[in-house]
Amino acid sequence: MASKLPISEQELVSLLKSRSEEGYRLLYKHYAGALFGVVMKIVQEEEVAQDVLQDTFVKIWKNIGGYDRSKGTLFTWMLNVARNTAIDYKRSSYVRHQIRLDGDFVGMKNEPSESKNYDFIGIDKVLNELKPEQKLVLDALYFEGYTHEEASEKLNMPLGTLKTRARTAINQLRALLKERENDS
Amino acid sequence: MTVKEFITSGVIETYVLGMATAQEKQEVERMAAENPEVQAEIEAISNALSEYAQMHEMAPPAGLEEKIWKTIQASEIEKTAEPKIVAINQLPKDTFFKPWMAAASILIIVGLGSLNIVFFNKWKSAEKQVIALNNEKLQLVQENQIQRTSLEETKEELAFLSANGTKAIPMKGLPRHPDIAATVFWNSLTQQVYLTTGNLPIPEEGKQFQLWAIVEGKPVDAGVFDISKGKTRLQKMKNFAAAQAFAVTLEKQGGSTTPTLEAMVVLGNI
Repeated sequence: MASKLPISEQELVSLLKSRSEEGYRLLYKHYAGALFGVVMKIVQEEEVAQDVLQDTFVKIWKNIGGYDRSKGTLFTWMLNVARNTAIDYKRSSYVRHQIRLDGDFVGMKNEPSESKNYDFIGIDKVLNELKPEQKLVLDALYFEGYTHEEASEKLNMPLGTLKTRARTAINQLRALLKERENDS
Repeated sequence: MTVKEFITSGVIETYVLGMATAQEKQEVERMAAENPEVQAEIEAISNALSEYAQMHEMAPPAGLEEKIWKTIQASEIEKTAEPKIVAINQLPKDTFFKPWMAAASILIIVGLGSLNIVFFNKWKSAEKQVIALNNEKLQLVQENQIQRTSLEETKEELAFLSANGTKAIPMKGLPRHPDIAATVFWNSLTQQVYLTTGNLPIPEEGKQFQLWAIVEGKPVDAGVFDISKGKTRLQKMKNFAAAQAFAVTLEKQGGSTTPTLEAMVVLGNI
């Protein structure tokens, strides 16, 4: 994450539930990058990813009342919203979303921005140390939201192998994260 | 399975990735509710994956934050904008459109809207009914087909049993199984042979009963047959032009070429 939240996750949720602008600003500042990265991985096109991110934040704003802390962290919940929205966009036709009536958006597009840089900012040591096939499995299942049958077909891998690989990848990821924690 | 075994079984990873079957999902949720360790493991895995997601962080374009905030605010206003209808009284008096027209048109629109909802709901429930009725009809047709086939078979059996030349040959249990009995029906004119299995028991796995016709003192295979509880149908066996007796032996699945005489169960002379 870009920087640590200055307040607790619970406080942030309360801010959002009370419809406070401060809540939105904090939420965007700390999670937009991570969510945008995931959305980009799914839809691949930056313009679509912007629409998806917008939809995602609107949905988070509207549905924050339905967020249940006991079922996982705020980020996990938001990630699910982002993922599902992105997958919906990907599966429905793009064309519909390319007709833009929003002048605001056109103006924004002309602005020079760093957004053409597709590199992910958070290139992490952990990411480098995961094997390519482990990343492939995690990306397909966790980001792109493929069902196990779809992933098995797409990666040309029997279901059993896929499950084993996914497990190994998670274990490896956890080990690397722990190592990083101990280093710092 | 102990909690530790459960944690190392891999099912939790599968669950967190959303790859678990409904049954696995239920199991994991039950275990998590009962064991804090399982709950902690689920959280640890979710957190590791969250961190993985965060490693792919990418800066959204400048300006998107404001744009989204405007959209959110607009959606908030939309939600609270309904009481605007009040403004009708403030329309300038000299417009061609009279306030009552506006009011009426709103009423019409609202009316049409609610009618749409009513019709849509009616249509939905009618559609459901049609599907249900269709399924019911299909089921009835199938049942009817089964009944008809069964009736046809019964008719044929009855015709055979009452035909000229059909003889019933009761087969009695041999001394080792005195209570068991079965009956062969044989028509010497048409050469057809039918069998009712009487109270023959269901044989053990890998075994099957076999009917033999004794022709000129030698046993000849008349076919194997199965016993199904509650069925009293006639079973069609091989045709014979002549026979002195019929007997049933218990053989291996699929039958034998010569009967196992010590496994003979019932025998009936003609």
